This record gives sequence, structure tokens and C-alpha cells, in this order.
Amino acid sequence: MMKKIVKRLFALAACAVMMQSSYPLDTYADDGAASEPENEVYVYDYADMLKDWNESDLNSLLFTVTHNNYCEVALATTADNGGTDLKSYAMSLYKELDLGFDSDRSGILLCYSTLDKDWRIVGEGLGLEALSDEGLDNFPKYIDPLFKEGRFVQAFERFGNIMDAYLRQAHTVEPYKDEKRVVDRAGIISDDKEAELLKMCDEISERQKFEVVIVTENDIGGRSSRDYTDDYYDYSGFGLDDKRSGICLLISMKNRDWAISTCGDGIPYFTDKGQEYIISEIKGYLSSGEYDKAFDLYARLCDDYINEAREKQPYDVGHLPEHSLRPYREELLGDLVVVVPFSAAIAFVIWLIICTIEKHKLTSVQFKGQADDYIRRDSIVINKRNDTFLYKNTTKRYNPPSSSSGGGGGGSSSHHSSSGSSHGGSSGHF
Amino acid sequence: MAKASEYTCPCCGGAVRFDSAIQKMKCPYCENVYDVETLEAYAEDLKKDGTDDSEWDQSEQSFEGGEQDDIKVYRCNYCGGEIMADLTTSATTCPYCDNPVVMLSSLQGQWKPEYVIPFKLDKKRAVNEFKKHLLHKHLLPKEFRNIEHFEEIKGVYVPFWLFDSHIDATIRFKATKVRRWSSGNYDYTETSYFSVVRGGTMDFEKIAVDGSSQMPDDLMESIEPFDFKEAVPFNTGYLAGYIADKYDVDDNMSVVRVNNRVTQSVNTTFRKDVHGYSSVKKEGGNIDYHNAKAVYALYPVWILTTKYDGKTYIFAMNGQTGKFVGDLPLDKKKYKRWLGYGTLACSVLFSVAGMIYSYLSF
Repeated sequence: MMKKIVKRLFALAACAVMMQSSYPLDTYADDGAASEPENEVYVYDYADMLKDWNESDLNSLLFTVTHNNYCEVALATTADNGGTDLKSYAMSLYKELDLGFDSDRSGILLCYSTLDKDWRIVGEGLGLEALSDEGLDNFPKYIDPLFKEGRFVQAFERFGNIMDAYLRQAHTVEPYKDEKRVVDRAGIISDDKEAELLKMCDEISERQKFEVVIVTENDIGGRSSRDYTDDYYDYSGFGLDDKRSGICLLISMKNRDWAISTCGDGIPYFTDKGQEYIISEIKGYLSSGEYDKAFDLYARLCDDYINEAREKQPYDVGHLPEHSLRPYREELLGDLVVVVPFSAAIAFVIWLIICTIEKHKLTSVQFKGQADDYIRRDSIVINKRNDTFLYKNTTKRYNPPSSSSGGGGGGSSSHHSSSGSSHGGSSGHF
Repeated sequence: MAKASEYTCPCCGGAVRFDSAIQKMKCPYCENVYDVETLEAYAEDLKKDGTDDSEWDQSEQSFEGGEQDDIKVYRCNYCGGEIMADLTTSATTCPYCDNPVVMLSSLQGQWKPEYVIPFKLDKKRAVNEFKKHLLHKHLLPKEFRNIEHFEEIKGVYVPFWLFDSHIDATIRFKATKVRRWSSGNYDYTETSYFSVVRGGTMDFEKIAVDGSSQMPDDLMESIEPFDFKEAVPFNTGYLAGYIADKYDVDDNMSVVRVNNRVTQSVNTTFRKDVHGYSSVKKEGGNIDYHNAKAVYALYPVWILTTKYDGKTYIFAMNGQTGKFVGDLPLDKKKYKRWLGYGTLACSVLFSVAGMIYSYLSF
């Protein structure tokens, strides 16, 4: 089992390096729209069957499928098999195009020959595992009619979608279920508490069908805490539903970083403001080294957030938890520290005002200053009124636009992880 | 030789006093009541008869240098006692027989007031007002509140200069209008400056300025206003039974104070006519006084003095309206106690309330 984990992590790191080198981070827009790097090609239309825009659309689809499933999914058309049968041609093309991720070259290639008017599908690594699924026996039934009718674009689209579905199934059920929901690599959680937290996270996750994950690290290398958390969630195979809904909290001790990554339903459930509240609640514990309490509270808050989002609406600006989930005694003690000095200050100001008024009441002798009592009634005549404009000054002051992303108006901001999947989240220091 | 006037009762020959309650002269012995004018005429008749020597002789007693200038000694016509009085005193009471005496020499020629507002309120009312004045003063020392004895309670006719003036003024203000708006990432503020001029006229009537250097000016201004409608042409009869001072600050010296007050009122009045600006500030202008004149009058004031903690406290009551003023001592210990205990009690209360709220919020 350990060997498998180590292998998987190596693969993960290699993949991340590869992804980052081929797609500079700034090509991922943070507004949630999947943008496709131009140098990624998944459609090889050697037979020139497809129009340019169809080719572009298909390329986008396969890009998404590829990155959602960590398995390269491509299609090729040919008018010349090179004198071999179509399957051999497809396999040689797979190697020639250097398809596939990782050392096991995970990928799937659909090859259509206008010469044979037939298609073959080949795969390796994860792709082969997905193709070997008996559910795929029905695959020809879905696309053969389309090819026969000459609706090639629809056929290729269907191929992409079906591969996506099967690859997702292959991930979530099969290979990646070896990471626990609470992993304390930094060793900051007491043993008893770690078991309790794991039990708690498992219970919440199973009951809610929503992953609640905690990971601690001593060092995450040079990577940003956000990217690390996204990748940890993605490549550890978390997610109990189609959307791989869940939330993951990372604590990295070297730089005292925290990061939250949300996925699937986690993105709308845990809004930016909602995450801010969670962090504000647990930050005190994190800063003072009370990690057991911090994670316990985090897990309970997650449970509350999921319930609230499903039963009412997600916690957000203007709709935050009314009651803290911190233990009574601590909460009251915390309040006491604020309430007492605040009360004293208010009380002092009130009594200072009262005493000043009382003191002022002792004084009744003062110069009048004016002679209003002696103005003869109706004697005031104002017969000269001149209002002359002289000049004007205009000053301008720079008013920077609000810098909070999604914080002001509420809602969740999202981004894409290196695997291409969509995540919400936030990060910072404690 | 100073002349004194006292009004004798045509019935019993006793010294008659002005009674503020009935606004007439009343004999304290036989309780007969007379009009001021009647007694005035009667006194004149008596003088013609040559039967009543109403002169005060200056004492032959020698005085030390400085005192001699300020103090005169009179002999009471009733009991023969010697009375020492300030040069400014024009009416007082004999300390031996308690008969009222009026020094005529202090009320003649340039010293003769044109008007007098007679006392409407008596000593009893002054004491009552003093007691009321102490009510609801929580930081007043307890010992002060229990004071029964006054150093002095006296009804004084205080000399006032009354100024009339027609004002022709032009006041220049600098005013601004401010407009704010935002465009792009900038907030703009536009300030427009205006020169605003207001001109016009107004009349002031009977502005009262204290003409006695002995009376603190702020104390006298604090009991204003007096209602001049109730003033009557001066008659020495009103002074009987009270103390009266003659002015020792002349009208020329009082003008400065009047000008300051008038300027302030004119500025305020004209300022009220300037509308629609964000800020208005006076920059200049001129005030011309026309037909300015001053008359001399006596206004009724009850003065109460008491000592507390080695310090003299003076209180004054408007003898016409009853307005009572006078600064009171502060109980410093009590002030600190209030601030300390009050803050403590309130802090505890707020804290408890805050914690209950916090507890209930769970």
C-alpha cells in the first residue's frame, strides 16, 4: 500500500511540474471559465473531415475530459492506414504522437479511417483500465449509428463524453481510495485526537456524501498552499459524488500557512465570506498551537455549513452562523475579555458626561456677549443683498476600487487546479 | 454737609419705606399706605415749614489718608448714630435704628437717575429663590446646602446705563459652496467661493450696562433682561428701605461693552439672512451708530453673599423678574466618587448584561 502511495505521489509531483511548465499559471483565469492553452492538441484531423470550428470545439471538450480525469483523451482521423490494419495504425499513432500522461502513459485514442469507414480505440495505463470496463461493451452501440449516418462531429462528441464518464468512474471507485481524510504529516495532532477526527470526518463525509478532509504538512516545497491543497484533493481521489464535492484544509508548518480548497458543491457551499468566518473561528487555536481544537471546530463547522447550504442557503455576506460552535466556556471567556474593558470604557464616558453636566449646573454666571434682548421688534430691515461669485477650487482624490474578490457582494470565487478541475478556496498565514 | 431725605409718616411720624409687594410707601409702625407722589409733596411741604432738618453732617472725625477719599460719615437724623458710607452710596439703612436714609447729594445734578424700576420682589422671595437655586445640584457640598445664615442680603438699586441706538450696518461674509462627485476612480470636490454682503438697519433700545464698578459685570449681565416697560421716572421715594449706589463707571466707559454686544447681535442677525452656503465666515463690514444716547437708571437687584470654605460666594436676583444666578462650589470629593463608583457600577452592569446576552446567544 505504501509503495503505491509513494508512486502516486511521485506521479503527482511529476505531473504538477509538467503541467506548470506547459501551462503558465496566468493562463488560468480565476473567473471560473476553463480556458484552453493553445498548444494543447487533442484532435488530429489528418483526413481533413472536420471544419475548423468543429475541430476547435472538440479540442476544447477533450481538453476538459483529459484534465478532469488525468488521462489524455485524443482522436485522430486518417485517409491512409499505412498498409496496416486500423488497430495497429492506431497503436503506432499513439506512440508517434507521444500520447499519455505519466510513466504508465495513461491515455485513450480514437482513430477513424475514411478508407475503412471504421474506427478503433486504443488506450494505455488508466485509459486501458477504463476501456477494459465491461460497461464499455455497449460503447459501439452509441457511436456506430452516428458514423453510419455521417454525423462525425456528434460521434466524436459522444466519444468524449462517454470517455469522461467512464474515466471518472475509474478514478473514484477504483484506484485512489487509499488516502485517509485526516493525514497529519506534520505530527501536530495528538494520536487520540487524530483517530477521533478521522472518525468524525468519515462520519460527516459519508452522511453528507461530501468530503471533509484535513491534511498537515511540515513543508510543501516552493508551491503555493492553494495549489498544493487543490492537487492534494484532486490526486488523492477525494469526492463521493460526480462533482467530487468536498472541502480540504491544509496546515503547513514551515511558513505557518493555511489553505482551504473546495470542489464540486463545496464551491457554492463554502463562499469566500463563509471561509473567512471559518478561519476567523479557528485562527486563534492555530496561532496558540491548539491544533486538536482547531480541527475539531473545523470539522463541526463544515458539517454545519453543508446542512445550512442544503436546508437554507450557504453562509455568506449577511448570513453567517449566529452562534459560535466553540465550547461555551471558551467563548464566554473570550467575550469576557472584550466585554469588560468595552463596558468600562462606555461606563466611564457616560459618567464623565454626567459629571460634566452636573458640574456645569453649578455655574450660572457668565457674560451675555450679545444684545439680542434689546433689538426693537420689527426694526430689522435688510435692504442690501449682494452675492458675488469669486473663484472655485477643484480637488480630486484617488479612490482605489475594492480589492476583495467576491467578498463584498458575497459568493464564491473559483479557479482551476493544475489537473484542470475547478476549485474554490482561500489561503493565508496564522 | 450731605443732604439726606427720609419720608416721615404723616400719621405717626415714623420712617416710611417702599413696599415692593403693594408698590407703594408703607409705614411699618402704623401700617398706613401712601402714594410715592403724596409723600414727595408732603416732604416738600415739611421742608417749606422748616420744621424738618434733613441734613446730614459730615463727621469731624479724622480718617487715614486713603479712607477719607472713599468714605463719608453721616449722623442719623432719628437716633443720632454715626453712619459710615461709601461715596457711591446714595441710599442705605441706619445700622442702629434701622430707619431708611437716602443721601440726596448722591442723587442730584449729574447723579440724578432718569428712571427707576421699583423692586417687585422682596427679601423672602430672594431667600426662596436661593433655596430653589440649590435644588438638583447634585455635586454641591452638603454643608453648603444647609446654609441658613447669609453674610448679607441686600436689595440694591444698581446704577445702569441704558443705551439707545439706530444701527446702519453692512457686513461682508466669505461663503463657500461645496459640490462632490465621483468619476472613474477619483472623488472630486469643488469648492466655490463667494463674497456675500448684507446691509440694513436695526434699532436697539435700552441696552443695559452696569455702571457700578462694585457689581461684577458678568453677574449683572447674567440676571438680564429687565423689562423697561415697568420703569418709572426717578423718585427718591422708591429708594427708601433699600441700598442704592450711584454710578462710578460713566457712560463713555460703558460704550466699549455696548459696542461689543451690539456688534455680536448685528453679525448674528445679518448672518441669519445668508442661506444656501456650505460655510459662511464674517470677513469685514462696518457698523454706524446713529442717534446713540445713554440714560441713567436704577435697576433693582437682590444681592446675597455667603462664605464657604474661606471663599465668598455672591448671588444675585433680578428684583423685577426673579431670575436668580450665582456660581456654586463643587464638592471635589463627591465628583471623584461619582466618577469612580458610577463608572464601576455601570461597568459591572454592562458587563453582566453583555455576558448574559453572550450566554443566551449560544
